[in-house]
Amino acid sequence: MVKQIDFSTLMASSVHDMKNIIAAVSQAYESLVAQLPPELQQSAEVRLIERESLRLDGMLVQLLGMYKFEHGQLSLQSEYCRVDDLFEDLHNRHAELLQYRQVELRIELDDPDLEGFFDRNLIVTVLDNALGNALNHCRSAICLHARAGEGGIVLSLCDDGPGYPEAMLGPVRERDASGIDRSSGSTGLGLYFAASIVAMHDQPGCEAGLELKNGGSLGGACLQVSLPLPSLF
Amino acid sequence: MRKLPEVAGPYFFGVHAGWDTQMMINFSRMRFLVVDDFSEFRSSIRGILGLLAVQQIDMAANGEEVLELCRRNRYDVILHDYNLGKGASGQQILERLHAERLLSPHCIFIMVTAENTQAMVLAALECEPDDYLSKPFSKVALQTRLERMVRRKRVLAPVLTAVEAGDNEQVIQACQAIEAEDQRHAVLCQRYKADALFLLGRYTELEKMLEQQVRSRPANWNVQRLARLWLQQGRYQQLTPLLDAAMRQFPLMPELYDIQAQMYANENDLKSMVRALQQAVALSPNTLRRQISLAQHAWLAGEKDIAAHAIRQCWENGRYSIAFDVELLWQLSSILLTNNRGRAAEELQNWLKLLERRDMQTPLLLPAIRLLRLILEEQKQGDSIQAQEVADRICMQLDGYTAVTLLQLGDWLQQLGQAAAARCWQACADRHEAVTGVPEQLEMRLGGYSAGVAIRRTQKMREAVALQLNEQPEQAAGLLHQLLQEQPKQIALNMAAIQLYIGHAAGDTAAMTSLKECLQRIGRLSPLEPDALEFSRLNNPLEKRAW
Repeated sequence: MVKQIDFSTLMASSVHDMKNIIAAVSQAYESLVAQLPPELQQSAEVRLIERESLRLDGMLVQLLGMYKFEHGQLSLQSEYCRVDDLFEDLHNRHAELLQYRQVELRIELDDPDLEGFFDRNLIVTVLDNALGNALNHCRSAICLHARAGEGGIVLSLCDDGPGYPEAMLGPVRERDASGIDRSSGSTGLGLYFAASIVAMHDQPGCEAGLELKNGGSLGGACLQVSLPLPSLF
Repeated sequence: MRKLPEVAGPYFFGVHAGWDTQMMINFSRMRFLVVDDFSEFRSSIRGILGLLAVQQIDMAANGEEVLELCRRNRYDVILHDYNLGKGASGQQILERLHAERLLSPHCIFIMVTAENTQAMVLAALECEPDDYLSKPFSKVALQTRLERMVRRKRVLAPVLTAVEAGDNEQVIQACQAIEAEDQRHAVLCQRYKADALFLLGRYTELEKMLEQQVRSRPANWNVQRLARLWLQQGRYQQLTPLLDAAMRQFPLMPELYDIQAQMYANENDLKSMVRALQQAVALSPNTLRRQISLAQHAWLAGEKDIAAHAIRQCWENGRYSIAFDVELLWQLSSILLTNNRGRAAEELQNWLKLLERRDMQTPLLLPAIRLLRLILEEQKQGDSIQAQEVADRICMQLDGYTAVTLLQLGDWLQQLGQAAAARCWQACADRHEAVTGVPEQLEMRLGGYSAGVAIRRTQKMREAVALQLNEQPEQAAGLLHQLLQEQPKQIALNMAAIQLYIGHAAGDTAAMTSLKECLQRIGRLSPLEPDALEFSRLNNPLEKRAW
């Protein structure tokens, strides 16, 4: 008898393999690029391969994350993380693309030693996706900002693009953020995933929050994530 | 200068004067060890490290190779895969490296994990690597992490050197120097300072510091340390609300349930203790010491199925751990023998065959296994069996068994009509009566033995420990001395006395002599005992570090 496997498990397992394939290809590619003459290292094709493989990887991470989330396998490993480290990770991942697209990434911390309490890998995934989006829609600048909020920290990622469509604005909890928008072609996966991840960071008596705004420091789209700090007493 | 911030336009950091002031890290002189069972992954990491200009890279595919290489070389960075296929896991190898003191605190140990299941992540975290990284990772991800860890270890270097030298005063001074100058790394010093204060016996200062930390920045390390301190100080009224709040706040911290289990043990509430251990095991099943503790206490609580299940888990997940010992399999066989029918009988035969394999045999367990075989023969034949020789051999090495094994050995010997049964139980009374659940078991077996008296003695021992942790060492020493007069071979009592003497042993010959006497009175310890590692370390003070 053939064992029945549900489609999502099959998909998750394939996604897992795909992620490994991309990683192997990317590593080989990095070694190869290092051997190219400098002018070729800066070519449009090189940047395209980098950008698209980063996007592909990001989408697979989200798909896999959603599968785990739906099956209760995504456990939160929160720890204290310095925000400058978090932003440095983000910057490093996108450095070459930012440079190629001539986009300025501003980083502003109200306090240089600001730290939050969150799952580093998961929050990087959320911001990574948002940064990827901002790169697609901005004109010339993106700003990452962090400040201390009430009982936690508030991170925001703003750009100088046209902003979010009116219908998307406001706070997002995971239950609201699903469904395919046929007019924009967006699957909504990124936002659904982001909202789910942020909601996992709720603390007893203090909710984490994800909010989409327009305006912000650069006048365009602005994604804001608030993450509460733990408190025992 | 670091090359990364070359993005068009100026960087604006607000008040942050961060990355561009930090020197780029030169990896070319550092020695790396890459551990993975897949050669493809090893070469892929070698490729990435090559791009980072790393020149010295050693490779290992399994735990034995890692230990061998670490005995010979001192590594700056170890990138270790968690799941090495059939053999020991990354967690078990890291435990072994710590136990054999093969890992300098200056070394950066990064656990690499392929899948992020909760059991694996918690197991990886419980053995405290410096960092962990999910597979697959890119050059940029590895470089960012490595640079951060190298910077961190460089700033902490004076602290780590003092830790390595065991100079606790110096640890505190070095921490204070960093706190005064470097806000960024000050927070990392706190736990080193806390451990140094504990080892120096400055418990009041430690408590104050931990309480302040737990209030302002509750984290895994400070909550656990404060909870353990209050537990040992006997401050249950403060401990209970702390544990409740911490369990709500940090639902994935198995150590909190360990502490709760110990609190129940101190209150002689065995059933609740077993329940707390089960909760800890459900969160993080791969940590062997916890599974062993669950197996022992579940058996003592009469929960034989839970005990058997925990031992099977030990075998499945932990047989390569330094904490594993075949005595567990003997206990499992003994449990199965009490219900020797159907599948249990089949399973029993498999374990006995395994225990009798040449590579599994130990002199300690041979007569114990023979005893189980004699019982099986007796069940088959229905006649009485000659067991005198086996009984004599068991009685010659009673010090090597745990409480549960001694109780079970006595039961089987009694079934064969051997007077040696009482000797096993007496040895258990002499050495293990502080193990929660043991006095009640002994009262059922040993004529004239009172569980109540034993439990009161154990309470007094805990009072002595509490006195010591409330900085009243003289009173603690007096009480322990009095208790040791009554029960000189008691393991827990001697270990408590050792903890008291150890702080003074360096410059005080009387304390050193007392400490040695305690070690001699314990004599021998089963590797399954919670204190086994500490005991063997104390017994071999001349065992040098690899460098």
